[in-house]
Amino acid sequence: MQITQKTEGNVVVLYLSGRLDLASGTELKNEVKKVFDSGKNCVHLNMSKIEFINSSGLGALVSVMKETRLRKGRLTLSNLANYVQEIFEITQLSHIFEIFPTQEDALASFSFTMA
Amino acid sequence: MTPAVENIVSLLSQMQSPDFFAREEAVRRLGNCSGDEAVTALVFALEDPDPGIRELAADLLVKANTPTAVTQLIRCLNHEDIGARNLAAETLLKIGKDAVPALVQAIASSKDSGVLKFIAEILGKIGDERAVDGLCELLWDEHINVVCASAEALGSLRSSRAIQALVAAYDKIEDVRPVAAEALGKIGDSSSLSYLSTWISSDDPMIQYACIDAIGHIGDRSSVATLSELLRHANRSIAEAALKAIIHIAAVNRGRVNLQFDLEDFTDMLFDGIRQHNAEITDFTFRWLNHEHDTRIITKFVDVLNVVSEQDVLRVSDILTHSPQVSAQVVMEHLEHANTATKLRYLDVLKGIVDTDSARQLMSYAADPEPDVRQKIAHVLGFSGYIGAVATLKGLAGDSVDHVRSAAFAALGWLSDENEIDFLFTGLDDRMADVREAAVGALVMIGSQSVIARFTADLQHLSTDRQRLAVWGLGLIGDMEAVEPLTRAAGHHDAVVRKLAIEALSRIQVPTRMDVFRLALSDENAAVRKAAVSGVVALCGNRSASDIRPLLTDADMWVRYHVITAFGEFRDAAHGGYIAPFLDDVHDVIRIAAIKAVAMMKCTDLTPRLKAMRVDRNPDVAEAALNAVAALERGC
Repeated sequence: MQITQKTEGNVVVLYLSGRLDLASGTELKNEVKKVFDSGKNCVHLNMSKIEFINSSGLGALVSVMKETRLRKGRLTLSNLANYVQEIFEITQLSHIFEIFPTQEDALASFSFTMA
Repeated sequence: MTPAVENIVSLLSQMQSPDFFAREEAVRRLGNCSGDEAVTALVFALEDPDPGIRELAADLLVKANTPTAVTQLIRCLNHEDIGARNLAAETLLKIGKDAVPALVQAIASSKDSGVLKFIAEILGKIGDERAVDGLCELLWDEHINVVCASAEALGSLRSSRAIQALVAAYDKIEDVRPVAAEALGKIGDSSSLSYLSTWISSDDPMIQYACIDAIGHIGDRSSVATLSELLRHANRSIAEAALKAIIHIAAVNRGRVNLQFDLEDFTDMLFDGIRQHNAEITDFTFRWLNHEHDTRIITKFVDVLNVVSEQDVLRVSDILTHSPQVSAQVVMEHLEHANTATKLRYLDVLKGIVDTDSARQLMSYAADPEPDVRQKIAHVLGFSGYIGAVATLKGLAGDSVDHVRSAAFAALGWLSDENEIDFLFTGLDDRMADVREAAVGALVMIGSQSVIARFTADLQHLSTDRQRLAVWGLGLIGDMEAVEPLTRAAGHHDAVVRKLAIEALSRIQVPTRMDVFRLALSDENAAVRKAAVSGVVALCGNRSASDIRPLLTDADMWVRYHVITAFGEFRDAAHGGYIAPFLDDVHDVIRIAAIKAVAMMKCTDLTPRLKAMRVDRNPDVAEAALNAVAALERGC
């Protein structure tokens, strides 16, 4: 998986591409930790190029979500491919994660809450 | 006397009739007459005893819209009957900008203060800048009512040309001061700020309020410092007015203002504003109180959760995450006495802040009579990380309502570990598909080797449904450990299991297992063959052409369709020869697939055939051909 990063206001956007599994999940957790360590706690994951996610990948996302809560931050996701959306529905993680159709929608939701 | 005038005189006489219908007919007929005499007669109808006839006359005068109509209506502003005066004013207002020159002219000629006040009010409402000079003159009228009406009208005109006249009036006429200040606010020009900031120190609270409001209305960020000084004013109303002005400035500037003061003293006012659905105060409060708070403020936020919009629930949730422990406790205290709708909102908020203590307390609400509440409780407990909630979730997994059971199984998947695998597998036998799906999802979340082993064993389960759920679960787990059982499932006796296995292996993408896909390409079941085509193409791309080519003659039309589409995606003109025969297929759907494929493959040698197909009997085929030719000619 490849992760590229961009900052939009107070939000760090991570663009994920490829396959989200055990190895890349660890990579994602490390990347998000670096963001938190830099003092930012609002993270958006643009998943438009995630073509595959498995059990370990889901675990990594849950772990990132829990870490975000500990940091009193906020995590949003957007652009889920059909298969990824389906797996979020089956596991009902869609009830816990804030998922937006597009990155713009997600970033707009941050603008409501940022001073 | 001309016949036309005679007719009008006759109609005027008819307007004196005691019979309503006779008078109404007279007015209607006057409306159809041309000439100033008819218009003047219609003005008389404004004093008819019947309101319907008066309004009819007014409408006809608006339609007439002649200089005479305007002049007569202005004259009517002095009518002894107040109803006629008001109707004349309303009619002039409806005529609008066309009435402005005559109204301005009337300012110079009229001495009646009542008429002048009417004129000022009408000009203010019409809002035409041509009235500015006339209204400025009226600021020096001897009657204060006229002066105030003119000042107010100048505010409505929003013309900067009026600023100096209003400032001069403020200086010289004490009673016009609040109105003049308000007018400067409405004009909204920053050049007025220096005057307003000076006048704020007046001893008269009315003037102070007007200046504060006006400064807020102008919306200039530089005013925030001046207004902030008033937040400590001894008069609480003045302080709150200053804050409201600051809030408006913040709204106008989309929050881009520099605030250097503590809002804690104003929380009652702010939260009252939220309860009253004041959008500016709500936005300001959520924006500027978005940080850690004590119990008092957190309680106020939780209190308004049942009155804010769905979108603002999200904003409150975000604020509460800054003080999660305090917030969770406050929400729990509120939960007990809330109605169902409010409970659901509290639970939505609690998802983001739940901790062990609040999860423990929440368990006692698991028997709530409302299923939607029990469903959300299951989700919150699942995400709480509190392992002690497992027993409660197991109880909810036996709930009589399907979506509660479904939520409970999903939540167990987030919360529990290998110890609960046996229980989660019981969910696979639930009578409802949604619950069985949730149980699979929960097992996927755990995704351990034990789960894989249990699913693998289930491939031989007596129930076909359980076999299918097992292969589906293995596919969703998607780890390398699942590859071997999935490979075996590809040879299962049930075609659905084989198809799901092939689809899963295709997603996992294990190149070494090409043999499995090749075997599946000749499966007896068309859905399996179709899945195998996708798998081979996903794994090998263009190199799979020789593997899938034999399926171009597959007995199943949809397999052929799928293979043709796959060739198109190879985008290699060298394969055009395989696809070209399908341009003449008996099935239109195959012809369309072939047209699109040869266009994607850039088979320019087929352009003449595609051109001929643009007039096909089937409009869908013709449209596909049209698009294909266009794409080939564009070279893309």
